[in-house]
Amino acid sequence: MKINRIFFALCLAAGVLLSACDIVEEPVDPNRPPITTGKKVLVEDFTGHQCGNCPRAHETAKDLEAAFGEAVVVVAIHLGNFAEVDSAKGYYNDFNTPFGEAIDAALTINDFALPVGTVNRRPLNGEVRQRHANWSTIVADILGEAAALEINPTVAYDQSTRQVSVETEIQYYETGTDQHHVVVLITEDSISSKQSDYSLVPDYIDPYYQMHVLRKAVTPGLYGDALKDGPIFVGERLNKTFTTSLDAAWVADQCHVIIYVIDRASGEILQVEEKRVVPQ
Amino acid sequence: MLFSSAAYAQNVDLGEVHGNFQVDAQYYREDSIIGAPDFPEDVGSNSFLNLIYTRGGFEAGLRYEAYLPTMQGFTRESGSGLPYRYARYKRDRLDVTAGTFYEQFGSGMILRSYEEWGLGWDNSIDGVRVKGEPVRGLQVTGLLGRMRNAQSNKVENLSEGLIRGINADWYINDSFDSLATAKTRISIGAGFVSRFQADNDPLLVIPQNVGAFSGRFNLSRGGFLFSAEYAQKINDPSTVNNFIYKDGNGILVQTSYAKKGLGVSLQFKRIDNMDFRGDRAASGNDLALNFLPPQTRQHTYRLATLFPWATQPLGEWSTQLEVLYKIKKGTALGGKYGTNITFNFSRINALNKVPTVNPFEGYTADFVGKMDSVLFQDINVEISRKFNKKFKATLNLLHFNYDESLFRQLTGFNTSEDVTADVQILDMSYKLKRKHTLRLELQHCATQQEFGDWAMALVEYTFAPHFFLAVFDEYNYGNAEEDQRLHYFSGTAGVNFSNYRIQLGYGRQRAGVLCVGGICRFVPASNGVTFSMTGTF
Repeated sequence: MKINRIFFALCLAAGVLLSACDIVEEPVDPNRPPITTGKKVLVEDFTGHQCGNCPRAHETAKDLEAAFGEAVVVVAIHLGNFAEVDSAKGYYNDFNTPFGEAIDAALTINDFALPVGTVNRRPLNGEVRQRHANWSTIVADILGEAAALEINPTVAYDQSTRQVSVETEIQYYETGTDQHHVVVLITEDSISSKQSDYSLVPDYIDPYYQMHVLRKAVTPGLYGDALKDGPIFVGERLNKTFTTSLDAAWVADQCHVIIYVIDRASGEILQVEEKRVVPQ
Repeated sequence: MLFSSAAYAQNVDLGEVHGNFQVDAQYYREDSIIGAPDFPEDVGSNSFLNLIYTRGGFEAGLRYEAYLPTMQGFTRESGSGLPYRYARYKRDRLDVTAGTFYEQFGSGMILRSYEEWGLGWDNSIDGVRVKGEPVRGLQVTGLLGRMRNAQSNKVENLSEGLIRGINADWYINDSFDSLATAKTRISIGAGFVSRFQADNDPLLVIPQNVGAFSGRFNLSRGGFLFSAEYAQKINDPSTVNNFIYKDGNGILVQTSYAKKGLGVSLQFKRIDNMDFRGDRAASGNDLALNFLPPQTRQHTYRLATLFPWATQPLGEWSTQLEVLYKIKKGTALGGKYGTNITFNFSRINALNKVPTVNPFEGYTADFVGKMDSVLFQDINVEISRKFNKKFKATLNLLHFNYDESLFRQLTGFNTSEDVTADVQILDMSYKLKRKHTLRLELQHCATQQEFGDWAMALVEYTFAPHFFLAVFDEYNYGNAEEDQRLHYFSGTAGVNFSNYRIQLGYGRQRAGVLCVGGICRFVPASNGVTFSMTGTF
């Protein structure tokens, strides 16, 4: 019979298969092209409901979102005198947070007078705190750069316990250091509140829908958690898990999770990602 | 069903058609107390029909599967399709299959493709397979194909990875006439599997061809058996191993000895980074290319199944010892019919992994496992005795230790500390009269951890082989949360007739994990009616 031929054919197949092993000595190709997509930018809008010029900065943030889509992530951090509660004047909501106080102390925001903001905390002409007129310039500069890393979060929300779980994988496209930290924030949109607005007579809007309001920082302090105790390699994937719960007064459908990586050495935010708490 | 009937004057052989089918359905009721969710369609059903046509050396078959919609706890998408169809020709020492097939190389550490309906598991391969026996005793298999996706019910949606494999097993005694009747029987084997998947990663250099090989040796003489297999896999960065480039390997050693009234078996396994799939991005129960044999006792009693173990492909060190002893009949201890005692010990330890500075190398691990911490341990004794012609009983005593995080992950139960549990099971059966048997099961599980103590009682009446009726209640009376101290009542009845079996059940089912062969699937809590029908023809 042709059994010998079959055997020969199978041996040949084995020979072909045995060569089918790619042993990779160097997982990252040193000649790879840079990753030019996926860079995102965080706009921190320092604001307050009693700040009459602040709606102009809100409008700039909204314009940036319209222009750059999901590449721009906004957080409105209410802080300082303008964020104080004044029930007699109708400013009932307390949007202050320990995170807001910490950043106020670190960057002396209140001394600069609101509205002011940062874009990835990158300085322009040596100044991190920037008026909203300059935000778009920095945003455009940063979005033209290669992304140093990518953040891939998965958010799960348990309606009965109001617990939010964030599992995130952070992959590095460039090398990193032990100074790279991850920060996780919770924000809420469309909170009905009174807002001072000097462009109007009378000088307020009520109701005003506050957007991107920082509700809490999930991670500790201003700089969150260190990503790794040691150098971070190109291509390395770091997995982090965070859990927190939403206050009863917050509307889960309007809440977002913001995750960003900041380099403590330079003070600059390297990458940011935003996810809804409840997917839509 | 025979087509070659006498009705055909020329007695033409048209071949035969055989098959089998199964319909499983469940009517779901929302039950917020046990966490059984609302099921919008009310009824879920998983069904299949196998048809196999044979004529001489030719065989062709197909399987129709319908998920209308898919029952809870299964990942298969709803809908229907023909995910399995093949043609096969066997003649002389050649066996060729085109289409869908199942295959296993050795113990499965580099390739095992199989189907397990209850788990919703089917990693069949669609492609071409050739088996041959070029010389007597030497069996060679070569195959090429893509693997069925766990979610898919159609043949079109296959793995991105292309699977190539070749395997040879040489049964030495069969090759030489002089050894054919030798008491010592030896076989050796080797296999190689390679997966091709294109590298689309923008950053990493991903190996497109990932190869794995295994070598094995089996020896038996009388009641003595020894088998060993070693498998190695080259760099296979994947979602499951978090994209490390470390080689994987596995060692499996099994030895046993049996003589009348005594059986001893000892098993050892070390697995290190051996998760191997038809797609490097796959996870969960999807597209597993290999199978790492479990070395723990597979329990079937309800409360013992609270503690299932699933093989940890990323690393485990396991040992198992089992001793079966029969105390002779007619002795004081053995009684009139003799008493069977089975002692089983299994223990799983983690590997002692030390992360490397370069994350792509993953970690280093000593050969010996991390013996000072136990992931899972099961020590159990089963004593079974027939007291007289009508009455027999089996007593099981089990002691479990379970690592906290794996217990949560593998069972779905809450615990904030390592689990220690003792389970006692008494199974008594009394023959009322010929073919009529009454059976009583009493089970108890005692544990200090949050999910708490359980008790269970089952009564079953059987009229063999036509009918059975069983009712049981599981009661989580020791749950740390008082509102979770629940009863799970259930009743099942079944009839067998001809080649068919119909089973109907009603009751509450606790959330849990169903494991077969170290592979597990989560079974959500449910409350409602279950129906199952199986048949062969």
